[in-house]
Amino acid sequence: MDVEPDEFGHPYLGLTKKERGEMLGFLGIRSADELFVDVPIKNGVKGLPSPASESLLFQELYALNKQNKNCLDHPCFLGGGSHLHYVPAVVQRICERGEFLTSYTPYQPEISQGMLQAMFEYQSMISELTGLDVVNASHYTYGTSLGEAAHMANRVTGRKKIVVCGAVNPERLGVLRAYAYGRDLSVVQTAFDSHSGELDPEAACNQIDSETALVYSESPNYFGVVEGSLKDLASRAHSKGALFCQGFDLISLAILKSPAEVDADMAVGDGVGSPMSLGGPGLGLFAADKKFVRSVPGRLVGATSDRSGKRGYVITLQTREQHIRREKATSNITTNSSIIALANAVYLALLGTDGLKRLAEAILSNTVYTQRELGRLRGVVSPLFSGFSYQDFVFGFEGDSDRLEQRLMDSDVLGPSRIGSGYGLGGGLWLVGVSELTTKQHVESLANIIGGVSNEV
Amino acid sequence: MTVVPKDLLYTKEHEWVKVDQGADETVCVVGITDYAQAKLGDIVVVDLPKTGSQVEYMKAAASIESFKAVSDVYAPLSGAVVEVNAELSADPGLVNREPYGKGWLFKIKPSKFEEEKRLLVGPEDYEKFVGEMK
Amino acid sequence: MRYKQAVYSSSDTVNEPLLAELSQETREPPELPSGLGGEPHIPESLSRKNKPCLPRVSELTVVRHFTRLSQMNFGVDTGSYPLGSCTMKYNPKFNDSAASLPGFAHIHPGQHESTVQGALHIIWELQSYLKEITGMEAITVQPAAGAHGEYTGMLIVKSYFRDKGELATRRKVLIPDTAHGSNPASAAMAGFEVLTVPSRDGEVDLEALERVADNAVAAFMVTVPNTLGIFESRILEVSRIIHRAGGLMYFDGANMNALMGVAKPGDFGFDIAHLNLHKAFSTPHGGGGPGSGPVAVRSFLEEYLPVPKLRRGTSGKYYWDYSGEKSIGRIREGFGNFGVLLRAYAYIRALGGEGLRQAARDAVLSSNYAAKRLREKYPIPFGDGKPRKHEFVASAKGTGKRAFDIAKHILNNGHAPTIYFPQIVVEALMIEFTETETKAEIDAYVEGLLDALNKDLSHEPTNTSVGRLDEVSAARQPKLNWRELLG
Repeated sequence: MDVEPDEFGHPYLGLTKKERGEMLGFLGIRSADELFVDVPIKNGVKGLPSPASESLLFQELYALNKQNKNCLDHPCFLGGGSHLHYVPAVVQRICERGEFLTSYTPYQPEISQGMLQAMFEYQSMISELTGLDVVNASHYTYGTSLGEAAHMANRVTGRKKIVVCGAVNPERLGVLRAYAYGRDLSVVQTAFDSHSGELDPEAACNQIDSETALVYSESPNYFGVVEGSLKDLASRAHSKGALFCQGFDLISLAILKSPAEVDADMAVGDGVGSPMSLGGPGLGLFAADKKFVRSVPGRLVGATSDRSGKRGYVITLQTREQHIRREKATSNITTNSSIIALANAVYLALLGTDGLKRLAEAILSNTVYTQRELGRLRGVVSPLFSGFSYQDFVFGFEGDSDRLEQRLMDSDVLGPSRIGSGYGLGGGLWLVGVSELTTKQHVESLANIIGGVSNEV
Repeated sequence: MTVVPKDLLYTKEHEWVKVDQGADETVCVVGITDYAQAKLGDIVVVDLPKTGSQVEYMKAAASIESFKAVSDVYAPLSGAVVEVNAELSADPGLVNREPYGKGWLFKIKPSKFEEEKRLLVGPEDYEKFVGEMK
Repeated sequence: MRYKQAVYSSSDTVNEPLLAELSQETREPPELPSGLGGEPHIPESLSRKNKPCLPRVSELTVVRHFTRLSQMNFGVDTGSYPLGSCTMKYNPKFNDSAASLPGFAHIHPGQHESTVQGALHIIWELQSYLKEITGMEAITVQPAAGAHGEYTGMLIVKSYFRDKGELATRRKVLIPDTAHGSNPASAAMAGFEVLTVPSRDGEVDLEALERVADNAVAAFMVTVPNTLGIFESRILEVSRIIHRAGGLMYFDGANMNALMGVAKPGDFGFDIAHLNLHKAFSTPHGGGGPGSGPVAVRSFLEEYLPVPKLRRGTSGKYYWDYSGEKSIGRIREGFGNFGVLLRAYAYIRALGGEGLRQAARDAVLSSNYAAKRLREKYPIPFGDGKPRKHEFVASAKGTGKRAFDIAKHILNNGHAPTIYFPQIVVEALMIEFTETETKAEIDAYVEGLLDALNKDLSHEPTNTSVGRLDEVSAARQPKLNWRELLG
């Protein structure tokens, strides 16, 4: 057998050559090869790069980063699944602390009270905003939380039909379908009102029956329209023995009706506090009514005390989880989005109730302003829908949408997104996202581009 | 030293049965043994069958959870569930404190009593069985 | 080194108070940009009636609160964390810096591909490295965690057999008795029944496997090396048995730290493999997440991978391909946990292929060294005489102590253990150092474990911010938010 010299040294490796030698001596073997004799094929791996110094790697990555147009350098009118928000400086400083960032899931609570308490506070704040008592310690994304909600409804009701009402983010709908596939659940989407952009209550009611496990609607919905009939929808769902889940935007809950106020059994949404990073990692929020606590997926942190009577926190109701319940677990989820949940908690703590309200109002105000400014332009119907919009809205473009798309690509502006004619409304539909960072100049730039295309004959 | 009352019958899955042979009907009370409750540790929640539901011999009829484990409780006899212990939802610890008394789980009206009774284990045999489990 | 964790006690019964308890009646909110459209009007019918109660505190209060909490927490940055099954290695700080560059952090998933070519290049390169490492031909980086990858893999299995018309019969997924709980949970989420295969002498019992490998089996899900730290030496035979029965082989990559750069699951007959980037590939655990669980497959399964798939055009430009009717669809919004992918990419570049291989060899060497040092006092059950890989499982049985108490002693020394897993080992203590620990650290930990056998552990831990906690009451009457706790 060829003896492999373990010569490679690197700052990320703890052992020195000498220490390797000492360990081998203690084990009475000549080389680490002898510890791999039971591996039948070990050809190594070709096609991997040579090691790179940190400075070289930095230069390369910096150059790659410059190749991307980022939303701070460019006006961003993209909405849909992600939104640009300003994250206060304190948030990142706290989350990069090694005691938090490099810690493991706090299964051994005595040494992890910091993370446990932070998660308890996160759960508490999301509970305040949604009005629902049980909030798990995070899921991967809004869409995967929705998928889990479908599984949970199937478990609780024993039924297999999911009714999705109105305009829902198509990516999230896709994720819901992938989760439904696992448990052979059927997903039915019902129509929206082409005038208001809100869900069509009659169409929804027609589908909600005794086979329905879950009724789901988002507010604001995919078009940015706030749904006004959710309480009735919940009532209809309940009358048929189904559960009702609302999809929400976290910041908007400072001013819009909470899921609890519309009698939702569960609620799912998107967290805040981490950068968009091309769509991940994110934070899936999952909240439910207390009566379902033993059926919810994900980790739950609860308060208790130690032997001396000192208040402490633990992961509780673990018997629902995969490591104990295995194939009967409420979910397979193990790793979640903890550090982003921490970011979310710090963010909400910095803003407070009134700060969050002001932020939501600023976003709403920017929505109204942008809708109005674009509406002044020739060939633009803005807002397209009569329903009340928050953060996102849709405008219709009577001009050449292909040309507009090209002009936007050639410009400095990112977005808005063309949402295609698959909504039975014909013509060019565009989805605009705004945030508290939207400025008058941004809107003017966008208006100039659209106006430019309109005026070209 | 595990407690094994002499007036009960047992299963090898650590359930006990108290036979109440009344004038017109037989009702059997079911619970888990002292050995089982000690092994589980402090009980957190007990999931009982619905009153009126049917249970089958040696099929899971209920489940008991401690904070770190879940155990199925098997029906020692086939039949209909006529009553469940309502006190356990507020005080699951009763099963630990009085596994043979107030910590009973559910009552069955057995449907195949004569046939299945023979499959149950007597107290001496159960005690021996537990003794060998170390 | 002696360990004493910070404790901040505001009273006899409360350490760091909750923000809700620090909240002041009135406090001006921070300055926020005013809206461009003036004061907005919200229709009464849509407006929130019930005012949420978030804390009102100063910025310094927030900073101190969370800083103090961090000091009552423990991470790899603080001390060695040899939790089995988690690969708690050093998380290079460079990776975090890289991820916060604005061209990586502030890019929206809806941006046109032409505006994010730099990011797409990183994904492309990482995909090619991970395919090499696993020995597979196609890959998706969509899954957000290992369990998410498992679910993805299970849906691929489901679709594959649905297309073959065999789904009605192939209802079962086999897993060894050493499997991590997420495996059966993932299989069940995809609608399969789970059948456990016993191990013999620390490896899958081939005869038992043969008896159950029939046309009712869709897949065999196995972690290699297994959770005992033993390499399934007859893996080629296992693959033959499963393939002969028409089933698929699924590789759970949680223990890749033992194999990366050394051996590839693709060579062992696996058809699908997931990796945990937050384990072998150094991305931070973050107290529970986020992670990333890429899934690599053989070419015959590529059409089932989630959409969109990353492609490179003839001009060298990257774009997302949404086509493919056999795809299982999307398993999350966006393309993957890009922030995590970037960190893993930087890690692989820093170490290079040679470094990854050395890391695996060092992890295995350290683990066997520690196992031998402990063996005399702590039995290491199963596979006597077999080398371990990057982790090993000792048992407290026969030591006169419970694993539970020994774990409290380890906590007292400033480390965190994995106990009672895998379930086939009674009083299990699972230990994995990783290659980033020095010999001195390993020796200190070993001495702590040997030391535990001579002490009264019933009061430990005493050096942590709280002592043993009442988990029973926490489960009987859960208090999950501060309203429930404070009333």
